[in-house]
Amino acid sequence: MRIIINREKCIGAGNCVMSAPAVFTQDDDEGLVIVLDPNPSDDLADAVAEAMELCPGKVISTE
Amino acid sequence: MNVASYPLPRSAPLLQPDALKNFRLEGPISRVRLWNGTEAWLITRYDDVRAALLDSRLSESPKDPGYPMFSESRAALVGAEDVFITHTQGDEHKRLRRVMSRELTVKRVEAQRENVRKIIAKLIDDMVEKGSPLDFVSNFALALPSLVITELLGVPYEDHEFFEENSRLRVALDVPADVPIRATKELSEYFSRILRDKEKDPGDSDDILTRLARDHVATGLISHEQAVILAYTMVQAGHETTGNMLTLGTLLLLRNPDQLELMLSDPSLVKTAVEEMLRHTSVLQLGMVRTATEDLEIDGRTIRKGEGVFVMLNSANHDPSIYPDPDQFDVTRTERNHVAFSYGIHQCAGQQLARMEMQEVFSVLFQRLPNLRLAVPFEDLKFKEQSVVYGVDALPVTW
Ligand code: HEM
Ligand code: SF4
Repeated sequence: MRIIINREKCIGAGNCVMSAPAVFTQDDDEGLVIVLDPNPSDDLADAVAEAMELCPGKVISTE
Repeated sequence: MNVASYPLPRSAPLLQPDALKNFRLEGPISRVRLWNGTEAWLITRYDDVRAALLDSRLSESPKDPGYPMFSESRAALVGAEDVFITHTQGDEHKRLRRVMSRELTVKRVEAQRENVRKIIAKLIDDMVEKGSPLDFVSNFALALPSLVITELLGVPYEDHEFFEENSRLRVALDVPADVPIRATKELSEYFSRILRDKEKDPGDSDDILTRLARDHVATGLISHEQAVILAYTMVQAGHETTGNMLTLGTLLLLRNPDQLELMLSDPSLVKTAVEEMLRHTSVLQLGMVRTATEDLEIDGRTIRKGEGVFVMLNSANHDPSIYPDPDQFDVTRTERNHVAFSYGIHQCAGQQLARMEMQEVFSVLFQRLPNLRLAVPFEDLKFKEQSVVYGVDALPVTW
């Protein structure tokens, strides 16, 4: 699984960080998403799916 | 056909208006009549609500002709107001949003958790010292978000009554038209004064107003006026909402003792209980306000350009196709996709702070005050049907 983000659309709501803290964090200057782990292992698939579902800006996708 | 008048009445204070059930069934859009005789659409089904909140043809700007208003006082306020973040779009919204999201990241919120724990312990100590019965709203539920946000902003807590009163008046519907405008003016003048001082000499305090003055106004990223609005937005947005959530959450637990017991028996349920409180009460009771800027179709029905729309968060959160037996308060629900904080680009910027405050409260409140209960009959409580944010005026409790 590879994480793709459209950072321009991020509103810094932080839901992705709550769902998958090993994969996402936020920068200190604007609170926007940063991908910590662009190729998360399969055991993180549920957490990533939750992050995608809860992201209000439809910022996150996977391939 | 009989058009329902809006806001819709509730048949019981801890349930959403009955009419929403029919609206979801008849759907996808339903007509309501407003205070001034104009009409607007309600969007009530979960999937339609999420789609509408992502749809750029539904504008959040009160400048668009046809923008619907909840009440006369609301119309006067929105008409008089400078640009408020929830009414902005595109690049303007991005700029304002990033100034706020920077201050409310998960990291910054987590760094406050210990401090919030201490504030809660102190507030409960003070309640115990004063002795029961007392009003839970003023002594605890509003005091906590006040203490937290005044510390974060870097303003004296002594001014909290001023913030609380003016925040309440800004969102009240059943007040003369000039009252919300006057409340807003009071808040603006207060923050303008503090920000002017900090713009002259920011000092090195570690607080939001200092950073606003130093990093955003001084650099020209935002104007003084925008900084003032952002400051009172944070006060306003976090007060009535969090305060009423803490009150209604406590009330839901008291009215559902089996759920309270379940939560107390398993501390890991506090998190899901908090999400369930948010879903069940959905305090932004009047919906998100939009105007169609083009004709658009939902499931074969058309909303015409220039028509007003209320996107109903409370109805989406009680859609039985997503939440089985939706009126049941069930702290073990696992769905986490409620829209109590809205959805799309305006989804609440302070949601992680609100969650953290609620989680900390419901981890200790009933442990510290195991006999916490109402000091008056439930039927005597006065609920805020005439407010953008639902809640209770006062909650006399004993323990
Ligand atoms: C349980 C408590 C809370 C609830 C239920 C809540 C709910 C909401 C909702 C539904 C919106 C969308 C409003 C709209 O689009 O018109 C919103 C926006 C917002 N909230 Fe909250 N909120 C809460 C607490 C807070 C706190 C504690 C803060 C900050 C300290 C905050 C700051 C904001 C801001 C800045 C916005 C505007 C976001 C934007 O337009 O981009 N909220 N909130
Ligand atoms: S949940 Fe979405 S909008 Fe929020 S910080 Fe993560 S990527 Fe950005």
